[in-house]
Amino acid sequence: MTKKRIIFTLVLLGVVFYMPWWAMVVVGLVGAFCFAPYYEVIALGALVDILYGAPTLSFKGALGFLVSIAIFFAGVYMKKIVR
Amino acid sequence: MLYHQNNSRDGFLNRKNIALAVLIGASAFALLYTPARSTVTEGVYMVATGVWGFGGATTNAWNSFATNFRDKERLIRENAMLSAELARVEAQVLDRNLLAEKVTKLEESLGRVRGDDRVVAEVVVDHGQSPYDTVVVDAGAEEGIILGNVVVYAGSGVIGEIIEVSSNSSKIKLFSSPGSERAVLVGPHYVPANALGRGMGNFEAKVPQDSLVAIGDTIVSTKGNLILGTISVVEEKPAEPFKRIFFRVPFNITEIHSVEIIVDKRS
Repeated sequence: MTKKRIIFTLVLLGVVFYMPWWAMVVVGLVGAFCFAPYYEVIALGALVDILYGAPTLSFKGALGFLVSIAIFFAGVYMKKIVR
Repeated sequence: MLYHQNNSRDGFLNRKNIALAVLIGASAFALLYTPARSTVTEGVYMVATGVWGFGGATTNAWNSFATNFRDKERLIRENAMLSAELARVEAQVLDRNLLAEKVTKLEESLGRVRGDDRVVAEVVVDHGQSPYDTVVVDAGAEEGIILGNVVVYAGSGVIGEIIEVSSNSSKIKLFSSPGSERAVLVGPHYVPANALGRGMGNFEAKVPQDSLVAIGDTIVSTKGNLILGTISVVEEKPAEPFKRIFFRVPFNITEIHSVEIIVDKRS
């Protein structure tokens, strides 16, 4: 399970660098559901803001971070429902 | 003898929740405390530009390889079409250069010599990848770029401004980003208006009902007389005090591969 998690996180990292932002949300949601609690999505959300945002933008350039926290808790909640 | 283990795994302050709180706190600090953000951004971009460069090289290699399997006839037709388009654009550029020379000579004779220093930068990340509609280029503080520098494409089409600068890269916020506003001058009579970005190089503005504007009129920025776009639609309803004009940049914003950043305006 740990090996799958690491591989998935590397894939998500690749998505952050090379794919459109909506792909990051979709893959992040999948990861948050499969590997809940998926802490890595929060770190990668912050990375998105560092790579593409700036403090002068909306939400002080922390939109990715805020969305990743929502994805994290959505994953935890979805996992509880499925169980 | 019974030993009761104090198992606090089900309590709120378990290790997982503490780790989560630390992760959120550290990330918030790195993002919201500007000096920390600048340092982290500088460090991340040392690696990020290399990662994007690797991705770009891989894509180019794949495209070169895939060309071998494309239909030969289609490639020949595409080549002929592109050659014709290139010849047409070269003629337009020549015409424009002649016009620019005349304007420069005229300004010199009037004693108003203007000029600016421009840095050419390659686009590393286009706006489609960014959730903020920003563009990342491979020129930064080392090339003399500072916050607020205006960014142009194809010589005079202004597209945005610099919002963050690292040593070797910068981020550009597009003027056409949804929700962004900009003061502009419309048409040959320079009617002042506020242009509202609608994304993908499109803008909307309102001008007084009796303004003399028409499709094809140019919209320029208030500073620097740089072209923002040309009017494509004019919507007027006689009962309203304003006309709505819709204009867009005169090129495909998704196909921008390099830009010019105006670093010093001499006037």
